[in-house]
Amino acid sequence: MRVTATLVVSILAVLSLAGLAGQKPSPGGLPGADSAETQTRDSIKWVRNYSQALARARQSGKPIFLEFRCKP
Amino acid sequence: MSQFVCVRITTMAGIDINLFDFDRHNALYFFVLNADEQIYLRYGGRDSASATTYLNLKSLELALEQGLAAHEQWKASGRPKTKRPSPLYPREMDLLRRRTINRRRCVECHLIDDYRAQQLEIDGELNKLKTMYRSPDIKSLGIHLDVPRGLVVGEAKGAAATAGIRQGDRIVRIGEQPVLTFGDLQHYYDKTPRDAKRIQLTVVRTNAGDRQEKRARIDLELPHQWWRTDLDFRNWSIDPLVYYESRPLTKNEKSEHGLPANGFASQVTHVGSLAKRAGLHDLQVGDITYSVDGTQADEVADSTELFIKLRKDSGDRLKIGVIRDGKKLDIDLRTRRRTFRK
Repeated sequence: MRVTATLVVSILAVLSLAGLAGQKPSPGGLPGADSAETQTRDSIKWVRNYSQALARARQSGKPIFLEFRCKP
Repeated sequence: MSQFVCVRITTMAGIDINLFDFDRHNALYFFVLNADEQIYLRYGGRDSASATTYLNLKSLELALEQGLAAHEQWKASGRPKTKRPSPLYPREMDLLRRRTINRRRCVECHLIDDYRAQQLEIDGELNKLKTMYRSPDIKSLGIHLDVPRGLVVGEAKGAAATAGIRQGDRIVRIGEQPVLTFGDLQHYYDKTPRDAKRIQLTVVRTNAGDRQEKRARIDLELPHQWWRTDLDFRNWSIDPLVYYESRPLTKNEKSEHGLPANGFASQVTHVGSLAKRAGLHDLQVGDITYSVDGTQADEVADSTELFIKLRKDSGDRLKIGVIRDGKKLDIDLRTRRRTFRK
């Protein structure tokens, strides 16, 4: 039950974000989870470290879009 | 998305769980905030039927626009600061630290609430009605949102209609708390005390023939057991475990079996494999369970399974009244405490 829900929502989110990014999915795939920043198939550059996100937001003046999800 | 710093968090270790407080039974949850950790909005939330009832591209797009607008307001110093709650980190939760963090296991979102509930139960302080029935459904108020338009009411029925909420109204506050998204609304609706009789919603509406938007404060009378939801989707995280699933009998079915109409008789639909292996009980699929230690009815529970989860503790030994093949018998059942995955 939970796995299904996770999948459905994850797919929805990825599709949604890809749509918002207005770009085609990157052929690059998923880089390693340990890197500070990853570019996912939805073409969004995800920071993987919360403190780093705060620092980048301060530096750039941008707001933070924070996603909590179960699996990388 | 280039207008945001996007951060993806997959483990709660190191996260202030009081600041990022949300119902951990959401597989995904989003926040928009600034570098001062002022949260503008939440995006997420669900109902019992589906994890995606309130999530779609349009509503996400709208939420992001609202987040950007709030950020501009903040940069112009036109947005009041909200008070930050006292920080709490997962390592400060004893059970979680010992069983998960010290074993270098992933601090999954759901573990936060699961361990918190278990600690409360061990300490004898668990309020099951609050903990089990998290994130009440606004549809119980008769509010059916036009989801792609965020907090715009698509249809008002029941308590909402009676109070004067109309189709097209946009909800902007619950009590004194401003809300921008369904995630905000559900989060703060959940904060309503379970014995509350009323809540106040503020809506923005445009009357016919009137160009200007108007605000209206509307008091809603909360229906009986307004907080009650179908617990199926969070069933696996509620103690005690009973290792069977059941469906409530209809009134007709109860009548056919000579059982009280207000009782919690239910039919077993699934039996967990551990039930037999661990000698917990001998229930079978198809059994009608109608009593627990002689009790047949409860103000909240509509099945024996739910009655045990609500009113009994882990490790209890119970006698279940059962009808099997038309004959009444008593079956011993022992409950267990979760051990958690991972």
